[in-house]
Amino acid sequence: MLINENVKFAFSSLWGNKIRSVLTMLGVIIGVFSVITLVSIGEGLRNEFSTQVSDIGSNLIIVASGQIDTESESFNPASLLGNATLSVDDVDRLKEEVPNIEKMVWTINMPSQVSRDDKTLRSTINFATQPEVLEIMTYDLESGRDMTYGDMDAKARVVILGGQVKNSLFDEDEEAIDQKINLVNEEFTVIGVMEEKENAISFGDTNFNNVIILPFTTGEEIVEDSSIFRIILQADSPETVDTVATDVNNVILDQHDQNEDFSVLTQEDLLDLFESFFSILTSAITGIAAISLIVGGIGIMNIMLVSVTERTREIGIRKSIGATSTNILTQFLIEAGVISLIGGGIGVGLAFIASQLIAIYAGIPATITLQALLLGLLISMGVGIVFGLAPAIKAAQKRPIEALRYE
Amino acid sequence: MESTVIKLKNLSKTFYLTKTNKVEALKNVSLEIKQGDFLALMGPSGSGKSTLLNLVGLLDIPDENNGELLIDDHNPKDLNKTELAYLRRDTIGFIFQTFNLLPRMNAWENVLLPMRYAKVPRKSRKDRTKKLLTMMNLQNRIKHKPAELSGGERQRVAIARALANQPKIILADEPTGNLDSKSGQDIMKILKELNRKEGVTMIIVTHDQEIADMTDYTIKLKDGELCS
Ligand SMILES: Nc1ncnc2c1ncn2[C@@H]1O[C@H](COP(=O)(O)OP(=O)(O)O)[C@@H](O)[C@H]1O
Ligand SMILES: [Mg+2]
Repeated sequence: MLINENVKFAFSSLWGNKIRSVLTMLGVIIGVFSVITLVSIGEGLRNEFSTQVSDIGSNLIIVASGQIDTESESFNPASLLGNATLSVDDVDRLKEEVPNIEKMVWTINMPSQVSRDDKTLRSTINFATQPEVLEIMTYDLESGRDMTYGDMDAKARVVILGGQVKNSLFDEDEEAIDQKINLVNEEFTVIGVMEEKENAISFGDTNFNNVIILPFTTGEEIVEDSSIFRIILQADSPETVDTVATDVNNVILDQHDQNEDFSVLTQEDLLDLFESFFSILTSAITGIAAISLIVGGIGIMNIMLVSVTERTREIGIRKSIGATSTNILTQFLIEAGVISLIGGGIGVGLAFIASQLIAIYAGIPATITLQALLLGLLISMGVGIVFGLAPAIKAAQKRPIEALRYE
Repeated sequence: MESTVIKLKNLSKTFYLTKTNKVEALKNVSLEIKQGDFLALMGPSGSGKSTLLNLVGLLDIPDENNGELLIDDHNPKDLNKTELAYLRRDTIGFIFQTFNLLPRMNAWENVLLPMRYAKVPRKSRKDRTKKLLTMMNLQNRIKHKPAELSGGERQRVAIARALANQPKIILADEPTGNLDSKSGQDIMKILKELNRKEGVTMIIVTHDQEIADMTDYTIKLKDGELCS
């Protein structure tokens, strides 16, 4: 019942001093706002990422040139762009020695320049590979036809375009099939266009919306080099993924004289990789949160200490009409709690707006979970109470006569 | 048979400004006040009147010597801080020269507050607040904040607040000091009537002889000592 009265009185004293109240809350507002916004972005990215990882086909294993250490906390994306250290010999041995492989394709990297008439693109990812690639990556064609072994045998100058590439090279309603494009100073005919997947994630580093695929043999002939950049395998069931990955690793290791100049990644590894990213992100958020909330708390403590001094006489009056020290302590604690809770509420509100804006303008599906919301409010109230404690104790300990005599 | 509600025996109060520089505000004061007494406490400025009232009102503590203080048969020395607050809340009502109302609360809330601290049930405390404000002829000033009231009205709110928990003792430190003589007379009439009807013990500090004449008897302090 006194709680009720205290909350009411806390509101009236906050209202009576609006600018100061807002300044007091500012630290907590910013603290809670940044924590919740960052958490919601992280959460959004994480959700998005795991759905996409499971979207890119199943039971995939990728062998990449260069070292990617998924165990260590640090992950260097540059290592994904290492030199091609794999070869057709590796592929041959995998075919012979590793059981339970459903499908397998391997790729040669091509120079990335492509042009059509006066349009030139320099950032597409061009590679030569086998016809099964689209099946493995679960991409469908939007128009045209798939690559065939006929194309392979003929070393045909044909290409399949990623959805984004098509849009860049051709007008919206323009038909791309059977049109010519120029790649590595040779003319190629477009035979297929892939569907565009929204937010296609790159398995390894390849965004499939941005690829140009040509027959392996054609690529081999053009670059006069058969170094393999990627080998993509599909295990025949989820249960065999891990053993296939281990077998693949052992076989290539043997082929490379125990030289670990390649990496074998499963989708699981990929998730682990990004989990480690997120855990770094999470610690950073926690750090920011802690700092800003401490700053906010100190702000509250500072203002409350001033307020206690200013209100010495009020404390004296209350004690003279029968308030106990506990009554006074509770009053000031509730006041600090109310200030920071309102600050927290405003912070949560702003974070909600921010997450909507981020979702709209940055395309990150930032989501505020109920947990994050409650946590924000709880933490802000906790901050108020913890940092309000010292001022409240100071208020409670004032001797009635001295408080009353205070001018 | 009237009983003693306030008893002082050889009570002293010394203020230490520094280790060596001290003010003996009260020196060995002995005094007994009976239930229902209505008296004035007079004396020149600085003679120790407020000091005495603050000791009786449990706002301050007397010197640690062989002096003794009994308020409604309780010795403050035997009580902890919380028990002191309870005794103050339930036994004593204060009226100050400067009113000491809470400026952000209206008349109603000011009068209600002591009853909240005393955990008086909602209905009873509302009823009592209404009764007290009506008794003080403030029924049309319920929503007014102290700044919106005249001096006399403020002091009447303060009296209503002092009466809230039905105290045995009312201590008034120059209650008319900030009022014109007409309002001062009115306040004194109210206090006298309260004493007559409800038997509340009242000590009224004043240096106005006219005010003192309205009480039943007067005690005088000079340099911290009682003179008879
Ligand atoms: N807190 C204090 N510290 C030091 N001296 C004080 C204090 N309170 C009162 N005194 C001194 O005690 C004496 C009595 O004061 P007080 O009881 O207020 O007098 P009165 O109310 O009769 O005018 C005065 O000399 C005053 O200066
Ligand atoms: Mg005085």
